Amino acid sequence: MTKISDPRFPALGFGLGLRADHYDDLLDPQRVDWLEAISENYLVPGGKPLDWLRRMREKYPVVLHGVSLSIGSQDALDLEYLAALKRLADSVEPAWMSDHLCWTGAHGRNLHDLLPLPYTEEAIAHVSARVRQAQDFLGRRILLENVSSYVEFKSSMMPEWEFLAAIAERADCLILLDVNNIHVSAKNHGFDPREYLAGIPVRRVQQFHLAGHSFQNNLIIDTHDQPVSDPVWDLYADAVRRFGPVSTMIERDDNIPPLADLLAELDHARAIAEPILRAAA
Amino acid sequence: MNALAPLQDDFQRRVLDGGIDAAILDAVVGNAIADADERVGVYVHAYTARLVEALENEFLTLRFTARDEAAAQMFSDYVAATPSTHRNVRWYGEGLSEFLRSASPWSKTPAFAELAALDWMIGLSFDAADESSIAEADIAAIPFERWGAMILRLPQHVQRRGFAWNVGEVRRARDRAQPCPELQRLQFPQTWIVSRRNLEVHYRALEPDEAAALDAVAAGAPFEAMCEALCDWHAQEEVALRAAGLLKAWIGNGWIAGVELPS
Repeated sequence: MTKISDPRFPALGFGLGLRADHYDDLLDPQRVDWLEAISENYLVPGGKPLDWLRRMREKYPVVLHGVSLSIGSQDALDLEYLAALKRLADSVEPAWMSDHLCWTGAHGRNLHDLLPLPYTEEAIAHVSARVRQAQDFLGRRILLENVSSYVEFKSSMMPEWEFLAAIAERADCLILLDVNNIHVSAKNHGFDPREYLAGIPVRRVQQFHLAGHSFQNNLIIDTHDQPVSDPVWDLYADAVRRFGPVSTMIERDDNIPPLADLLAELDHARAIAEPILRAAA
Repeated sequence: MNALAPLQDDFQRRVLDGGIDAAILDAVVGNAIADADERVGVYVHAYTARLVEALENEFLTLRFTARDEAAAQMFSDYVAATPSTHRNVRWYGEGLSEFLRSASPWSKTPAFAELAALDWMIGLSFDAADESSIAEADIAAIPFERWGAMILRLPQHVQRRGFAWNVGEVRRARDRAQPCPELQRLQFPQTWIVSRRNLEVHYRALEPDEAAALDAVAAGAPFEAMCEALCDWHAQEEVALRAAGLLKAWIGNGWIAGVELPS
């Protein structure tokens, strides 16, 4: 098995999700410390997408964020997908790689969604073993992200944060803590988001996501098409207090605004985090 | 694995059947915020919406031609009939052209399948593998008496297809922000070629003789067979000049990725 000794990678600062709308602007110097690229957008044979990724990589540290590892599926891990991911990583040399604590389909079908798992001992054992398998294959420690959820299963035996923490410890992987997802799930299921933060081991948290959401009846939907909301900014401040200088990025996938708007949001994140970190120093 | 697999089976069945199978609802917590049906429904709705959006982004000519409502319906029909087996949603639309060719009511307008095929070709060319192309000097280095035996190789970004409808004209109008022309069956089928140069995708109609010559090249036939194909359009004494002219133009376009001489 690959020996992985150091639990966290060096922090990168404040970053953005890499979106095609902003390619040209990002060629100029910007107030962005790093970029997160969706792995699947670049798992193509060649052409413009890979050329843009190479050009961005020349200017910024890049991390790869996947959406189809399906770490919680009953299907065997897709080694062809992992091999393609490894080839991309060998080419891009990302600071780290991440995917989601979820499943995306079974029996060879793909629902192209981040589907929730039951919080059970069986699922912990299943996912942990597969994270170790993926890490061995990729030759690097990966990050797992908490997803927004709209359902909880009656079979769950523990809260989500215990589930996530147990997998991170047992699989020896890192956590991408999506602060918006915590807020969304807390509202949808009626738990205290601060209790969630308190249940996550500090030394496992490598990255924060910040994003916007929408409303549908009494549910909050993780749409990534709005600015970060005030309650999420408040929760982010609590997260910085607990976890310290964790690499932070704004994730916008739809209704994408000009880069300047996202830079302003990123400045807001800095304005929240930096005084807290200075006071803690 | 005792409980996880059946739970995923029940969940997936409800998402794929559009919210009919009720088995998963017994396994989901419902409360005052939302009942189990509404909660699972978020995933059921998102499945179709996400795949339709992926198709909308891929099939631009089809959307340009069909009314928004009709395009949305044909994409929804495809999603309902075609569960995704692709890890990457980029490839999900692979079967749309064939679906539109065979599924009612879309099959009544054969141009829809051709529009989808043209869009798919453009997508394939856009992110096809990066391949270097040969230069005229590479051909000049081959002794002329051996030209007949040389086998040319097309790169993956070169995509060709014959169309019975004016789909290329429609795509061109779309890309030039012009009004959408009326769909019309052509007097003779026309081959269109899509290719990539300096990362930009280009497309144009091929003359019939050029299309036949490229067919021969794509089939792996030697240069002399390509010349024979041109004999259907040109007098014997004109064929060599036309073949050399095509080869020069293809090399200039970056359409030739390699040349082999059988030993």
